[in-house]
Amino acid sequence: MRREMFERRYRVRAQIPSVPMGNIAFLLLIFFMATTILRSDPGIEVRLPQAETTEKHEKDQVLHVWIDQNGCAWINNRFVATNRLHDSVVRETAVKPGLVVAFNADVRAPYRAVADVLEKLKQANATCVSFTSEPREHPARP
Amino acid sequence: VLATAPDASYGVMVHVLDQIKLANCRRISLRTLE
Repeated sequence: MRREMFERRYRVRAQIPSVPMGNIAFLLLIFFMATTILRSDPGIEVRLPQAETTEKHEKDQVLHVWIDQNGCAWINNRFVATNRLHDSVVRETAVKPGLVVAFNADVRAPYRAVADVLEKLKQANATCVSFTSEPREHPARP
Repeated sequence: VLATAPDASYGVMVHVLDQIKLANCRRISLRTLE
């Protein structure tokens, strides 16, 4: 009888402590929330010129060429060096013959850079080029 | 023929192009001056 009392007093029950686990999970959650940096794509900042005459093209047949205000060229949201522009356009026109090149150049872009890109498009046999513009805003009449 | 100097502004070139299109000219050739 004395031995049974001794065993009962010192018996250790095996269990997983759940309270510290919750604390650790909560701390990890706060840590990752505080340290995570959500990177957003800033995109290409282009201020298009305004024009009176505008036409719309079907989206499937358009290759977008962007030129930012520094004269850097982008094709379909990918930066392309000027010396590789010819190859990129040739590759695109081979996949889709009769492609319309939508020329989205910033109004502040130096014309020298614009002329260089136009020359490269001409060399790549992209003869159908459309200058993208925004509709001109007329002042409100009283 | 719309001849543009390399130092010109692209915005001005498009504005002139727009005015030419408004005047119902359909065959326009672009040229860059040396």
